[in-house]
Amino acid sequence: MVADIIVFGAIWTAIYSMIALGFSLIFGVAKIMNLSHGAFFMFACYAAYYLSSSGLGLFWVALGAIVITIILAIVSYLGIIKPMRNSLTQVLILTFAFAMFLEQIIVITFGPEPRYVPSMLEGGMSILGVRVTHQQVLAFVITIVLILFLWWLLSRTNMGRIIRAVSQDREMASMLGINAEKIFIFVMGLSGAFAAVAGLLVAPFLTVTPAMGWSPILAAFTIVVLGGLGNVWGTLIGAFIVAYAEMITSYAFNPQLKEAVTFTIMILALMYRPNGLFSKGVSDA
Amino acid sequence: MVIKRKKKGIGFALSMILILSVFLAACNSDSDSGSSDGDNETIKVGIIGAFQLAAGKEIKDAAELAVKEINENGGVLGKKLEAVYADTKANPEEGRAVVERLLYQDEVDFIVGEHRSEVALAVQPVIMESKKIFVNTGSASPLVTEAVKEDYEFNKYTFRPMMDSTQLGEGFLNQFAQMVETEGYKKVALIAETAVWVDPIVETFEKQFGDKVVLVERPATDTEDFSIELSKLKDSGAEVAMTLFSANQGIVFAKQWAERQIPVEITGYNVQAQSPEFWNQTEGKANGLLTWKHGVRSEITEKSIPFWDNFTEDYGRTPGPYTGITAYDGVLVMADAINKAGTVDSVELVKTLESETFVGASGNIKFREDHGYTIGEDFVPFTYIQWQDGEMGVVGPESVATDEIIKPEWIK
Repeated sequence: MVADIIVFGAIWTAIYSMIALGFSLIFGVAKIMNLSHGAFFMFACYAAYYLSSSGLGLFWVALGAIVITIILAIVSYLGIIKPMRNSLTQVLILTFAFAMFLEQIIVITFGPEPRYVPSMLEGGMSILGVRVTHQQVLAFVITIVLILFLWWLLSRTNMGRIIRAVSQDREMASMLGINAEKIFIFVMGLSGAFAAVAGLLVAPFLTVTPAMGWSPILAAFTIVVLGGLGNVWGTLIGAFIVAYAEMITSYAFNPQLKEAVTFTIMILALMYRPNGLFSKGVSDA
Repeated sequence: MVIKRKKKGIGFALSMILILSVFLAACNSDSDSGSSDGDNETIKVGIIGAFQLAAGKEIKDAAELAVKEINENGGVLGKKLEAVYADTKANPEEGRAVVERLLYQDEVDFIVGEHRSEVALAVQPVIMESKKIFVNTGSASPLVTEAVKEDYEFNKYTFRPMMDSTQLGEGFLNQFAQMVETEGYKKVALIAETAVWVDPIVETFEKQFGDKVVLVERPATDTEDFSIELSKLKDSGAEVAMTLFSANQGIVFAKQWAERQIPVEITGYNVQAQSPEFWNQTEGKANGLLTWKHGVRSEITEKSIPFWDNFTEDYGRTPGPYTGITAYDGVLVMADAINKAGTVDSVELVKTLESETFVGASGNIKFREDHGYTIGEDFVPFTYIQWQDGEMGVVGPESVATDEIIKPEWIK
């Protein structure tokens, strides 16, 4: 039982991190609380479903789903978020409405029935005596790689320095000749890409339905409250806390208490550490 | 000038919309009046359900097949049977509205369908008020037929040629008990969704299997990951588990059960596993999973195999949820009853439906006092399938089984 908690806790830490990172990143840089992030995740799953059922190979399915989701994220930024960006409340309402809109589009196009996305890797293996699928291992490994990539991007590249500059002081960055708007678009695309990759990796072992985006956005919200919006390592630790708290509660008590635990953590974090455990702007550490 | 032009443009657009609306309304009323003109030449059946859902689509497709076959065989009382479809959109208000349209605008002679209990219960009084027959072919709520017992005079026009939730519960428990006895299992488990319809079954399960019960889990209907439940199932040492899943969770459960090679046999009810798409949805991993499925390809009556084959030929897929075969039987039973009674008069039809036994694709249909129906070997058997190499093997009961139960390859 302990081994199960360790193994599945690690897998869910990875999945939650992937979803929460994109959500956290766009807030950290552009102060956009994007409630349609979960819908991007769902949209990527359906894009993968559509492309795979059209007979495309796995590589093209993955590439196609990521590109489509990036385009969707950027278009939603330019068309909906940007005109209202100065009001956090309006952005919240608009992105919530956009998520509902996307869900309805998917219901109309694909129907409410569950769809399936084929696994990228077949078979399974044993870790600490617990059998996991290769797809779950792949999700874990890719998440680690992408977190390291994001850390490298933000801390070791010129683009990362620009992103951090815009995050910390947009006005000052603009005075230094940085086009903040282009950075926002880039980060929005990056955020969409993270949602898409998360969708591609987890869709084969979850149920793909039009409403599947809501549960991850709630987990992401709790994680970023814990880790601090815009903080990469904070997000990772937030995901770790939420995933393991859920696993332990589910094993020791009842799986149905999972979400109650998530919200308890969120309430406690908002009461005692409202700026997160490691609050900063966008940070590489 | 520009404003004037804009106003003209808007005026033109509004005029076009008005003309178009009138045209569409005219088209609509054409089809309606066409229907009423046909009163003397056709007998009309209203088919209702939430057609955008799989269970509702199955009602529509199966009813269409029944109507086609009846007409190919000379119709009803020498007249053509005409189906009028109305989508209730799984909404009681919408259900009432479309049923009123069917009754008073389309003037249907009887109504068949509806799989959502809340919609069935909402439309039932509307149909009873009009004194037309309502053959409910999807809702399992006992309230539909209890209404007949409670106020026979008003509700006697309701019939339900399918099992209610009490019969379903008994069927699941009987099949499970038989499996436990045959295999000599000592440890059993139950994984049942959190839903009201499941509660009495869980209670009986715990009483019936007593000390053998090593695990009872009640996951939410929207569970997307069964890692925890499956680990608990494995740790419990159970040899067989009954699942009760009526929502989308059945696909992911079956996939994870197979991928993690949990050494526990699975039976019970998994609504997704009744669908022909289940094999692809689980990437062919659910070999050996058992589920109750109403309507199987077996010679239960002379209509059973032709229904299966004709449905497959017409729609390019095998029959899915139980709502299809019950709707098919519903239309067939009504056509047969009208032919026997020699009239579409509801009072006469009630007498015929109460007294006669009808042959359907799911079995011999004999209505009870409350207008539900009788299940069992001589009537409608409680059938089980097992997924075997992409096919739904019919494994129970013995009288209709065409295949032997196999164990999943990772269970010795």
